Amino acid sequence: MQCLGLAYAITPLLEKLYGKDPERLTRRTRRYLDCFNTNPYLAAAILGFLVHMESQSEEMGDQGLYLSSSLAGLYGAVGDNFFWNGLKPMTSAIAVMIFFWRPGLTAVLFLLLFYNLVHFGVRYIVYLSALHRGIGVLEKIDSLRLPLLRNIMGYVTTASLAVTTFLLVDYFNLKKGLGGNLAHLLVLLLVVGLWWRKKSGSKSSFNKQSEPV
Amino acid sequence: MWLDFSAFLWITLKVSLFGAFCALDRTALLQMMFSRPLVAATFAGALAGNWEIGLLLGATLELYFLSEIPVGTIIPTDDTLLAMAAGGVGAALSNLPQSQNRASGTLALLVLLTVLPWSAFTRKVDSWVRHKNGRLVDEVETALLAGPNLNRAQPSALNYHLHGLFNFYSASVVALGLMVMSSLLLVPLLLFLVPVWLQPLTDRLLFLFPVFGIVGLLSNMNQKRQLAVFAGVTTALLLF
Repeated sequence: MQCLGLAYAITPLLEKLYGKDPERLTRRTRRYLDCFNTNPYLAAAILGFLVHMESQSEEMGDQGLYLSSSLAGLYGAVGDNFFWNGLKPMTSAIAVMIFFWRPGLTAVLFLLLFYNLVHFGVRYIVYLSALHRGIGVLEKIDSLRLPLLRNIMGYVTTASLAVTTFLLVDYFNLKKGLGGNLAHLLVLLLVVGLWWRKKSGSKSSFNKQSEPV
Repeated sequence: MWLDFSAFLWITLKVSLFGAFCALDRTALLQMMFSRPLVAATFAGALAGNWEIGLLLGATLELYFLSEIPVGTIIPTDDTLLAMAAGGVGAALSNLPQSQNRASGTLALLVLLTVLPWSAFTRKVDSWVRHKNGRLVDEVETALLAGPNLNRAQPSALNYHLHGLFNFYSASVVALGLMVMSSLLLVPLLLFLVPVWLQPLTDRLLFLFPVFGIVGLLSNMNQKRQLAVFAGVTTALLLF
């Protein structure tokens, strides 16, 4: 389905380049309907790269499409790891921590503002870089050091989850009848116990299923 | 027990029609995190008249499904639809007379227990829409091959692209409508059945959902020295 979005996004350029030759325009549009699957945020880099190549000539456009299938796999892996395994869990974990600390709309605002600031920033940088430098965008993405940032975000997520575990005791008033530190210790033991059980590979009741396409 | 069915129908319509826009943000449009449970449930709660309980349900669900990552061809549970339904139902029922003398924890727990069984259904709906949209590419190709006429060929690509969005929207409206209406009818009955003496326990049981979410996320991250960071932070908090 992403190929339809790609064709939709590049249509204005194709109309500008081949608008006077409808047959050529149709042929070029069809070329962009080939299978395309990557991380939706880093797709901006591929779009910028394809615009860069197509603007030069039809042959370069074909070369761009050929290369983009390899780039899509690469950006899919890098982007999924950074955005879905790093940024999204970290932003959500901090937002939930904020909620259990000070219930209110601050958590929602933080989630929306922080995530979009980063994701639009990355989209903007990689699109412009690909548009101007073509395949040189690879160096730009490499210079962003997304895998390193993802590791740092992993530690921030873990720390936020630890604080949230602590805050749950106060929010749900679990201290009543147990005493402060004992309630905290019991919840921590519950989390660590379930974590260890899941890590050791045993199936637990909270394992959730996903639907393969 | 008195239920205002016309109000329920109105809330179902409002949450389904407006909430489905949040569902579009999930994969089909923008992906600006309006589809995260924390945001979606708060919005649904505001639509149904009580954003606070929507926010509570959203925060509870936010971590719960976070360990399901949409990597490759895996379609995770549609937590947006579940959160919208939960937020809308929770907010609508928080105004009922039988909810007035109870803390929001029990109501939120019962809402989650009625909404979460729809998880498999949301995955099926998502998968079905994706299959349907996958066929749109062939339709665009056919339209383009029909003739090299600029006026016919170019708008067809545009229209089919928007058709894919419409498929996502309409499937979300129907799924949300079903979930909200069924839960609006079921939860008041469950509220009636929960004895008051059990309430201190049911109010607190909600904390298990964030705990399961935290465990799921920690297990999925596979980070080096993760346990050391977790233990360090918790020890520091316990000591200070």
